[in-house]
Amino acid sequence: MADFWAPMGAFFSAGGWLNVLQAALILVLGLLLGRILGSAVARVLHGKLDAHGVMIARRVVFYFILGLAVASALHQLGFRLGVLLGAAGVVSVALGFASQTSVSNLISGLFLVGERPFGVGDVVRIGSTTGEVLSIDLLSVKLRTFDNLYVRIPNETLIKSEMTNMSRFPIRRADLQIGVAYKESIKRVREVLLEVAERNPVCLEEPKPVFMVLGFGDSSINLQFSVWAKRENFLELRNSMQEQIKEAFDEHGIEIPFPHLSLYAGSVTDPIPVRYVDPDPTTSDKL
Amino acid sequence: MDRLLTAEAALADWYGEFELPEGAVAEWRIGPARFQVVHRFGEWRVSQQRDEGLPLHAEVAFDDVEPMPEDKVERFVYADQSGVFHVQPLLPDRSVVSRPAAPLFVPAGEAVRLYVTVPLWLQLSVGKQRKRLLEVPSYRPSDTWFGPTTMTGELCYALRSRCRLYLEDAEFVPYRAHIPVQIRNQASKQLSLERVCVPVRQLSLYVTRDGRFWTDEVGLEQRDEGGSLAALRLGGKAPKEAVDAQRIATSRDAPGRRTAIHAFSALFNL
Repeated sequence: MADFWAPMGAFFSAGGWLNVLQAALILVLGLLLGRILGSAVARVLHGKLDAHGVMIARRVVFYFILGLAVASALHQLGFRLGVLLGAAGVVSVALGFASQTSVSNLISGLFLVGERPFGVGDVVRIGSTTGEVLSIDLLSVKLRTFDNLYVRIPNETLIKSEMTNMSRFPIRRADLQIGVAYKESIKRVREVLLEVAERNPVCLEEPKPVFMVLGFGDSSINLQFSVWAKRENFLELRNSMQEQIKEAFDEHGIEIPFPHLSLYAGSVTDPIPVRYVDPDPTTSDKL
Repeated sequence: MDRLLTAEAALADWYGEFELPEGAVAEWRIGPARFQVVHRFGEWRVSQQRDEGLPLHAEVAFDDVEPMPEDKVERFVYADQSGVFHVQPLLPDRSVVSRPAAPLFVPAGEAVRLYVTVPLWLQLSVGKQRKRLLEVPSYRPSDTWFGPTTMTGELCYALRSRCRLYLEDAEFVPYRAHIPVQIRNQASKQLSLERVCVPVRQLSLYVTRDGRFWTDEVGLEQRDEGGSLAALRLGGKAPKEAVDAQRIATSRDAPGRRTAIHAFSALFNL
């Protein structure tokens, strides 16, 4: 222990305290300057770049200045940077093995930033999670789901799995699945549906609504009616169209069937025998 | 109409500047749009409703009107008690898309003049400084998409009225404006018109003595060179059909005297 304390004592007695103080000051100043310059850059770029670009620019400025401050602080403490960088190479290999996941996330994060499949503020679906992108960081992407939960998704997962960006294009299509009874005329149903789409102001006139007969189901003719809306109006369109289709079907007497079940007694002609019995007075009293 | 203040609005009695002292109620019925304005101490209350169908009237009634349900009311705080209320007709806030009744072909070297009819928007404002309260469309057209793909393009309004070759075919509707579109085919190929997109945000609004609304003339040319580009010319003055017209609203966006802004495919769906 004496071997350790002796040089330490020598260090502090030879003005080392002052160096530590100066190094700390440089670090604090670097942090402050990084933050201030980062914010200034963000303010200048606000309106010129999107939220994602502004966030990246701010981080680059902040980490660059922080890096400079850390290097200066270390220099102030008497560390030689050349040696440090050499040591850092060895350490990073060791660390890389030890923290494979983090490094993988880090590299994935860089790819994500480069590829830009989405930006801050976009609405994305990753796996079963749908939400608005809050930030794209080095290790993970943070989402806010629509039920207001904070979800952190590692960048590695994002790179590996399928991701849907729902904010990329300005218009979206809603596919409405509709079943009508076999007795209905498909032509008439199509006319009614197109009329509903035409009356709905949120439903785009072009691209035209698409009417498809999907097939003959167990108890209904299965149809798909695909309508387009501005991205922001998607939910409103889905809701209003289904409501108006139900109203229009009721008005025109078009039946939306529920599943039917036919019982077959095993013989071609004989119906299932039904026997009428008088209610049991004892049990009916109890009821 | 004794409540109407300005001479500019003398051509019709439903728009312009009105005097609505505290406690006054007025109701406008402009086509399917119906809105009621109540002036209370320090505030203006505006309620809106949509009527069924496409009524042709454009009128205003004072005081003796049935109040609209409370849940439709929007309240605007405004301290000035001068009671000046302004209804300003405007063109729609997005480009409009119209179709001819049947596909129209313009052979090479020919020109055609079409008339597109758009419903007017009404801007409600108060006070001498015309503090803007809100905008009400007389008729809200359906949305539509105008562009080469579903990824690029522009969100527009789809007009139910067809663009016409003859103005006499168009029924007079007091809350609609006519846009003359002059199309000249300078290319060597025949031009087929299925849809026309008119950038109404760049057009001014005029009114004639007979109460018809007009906009600047829009001129389009198709040429061979440089792909299929359309030169878009905006007249900057009332069209020749609008005799003695006066301008009542300037364009929403700064108009360019001669702006080749769109590829032809963006103005026509060919």
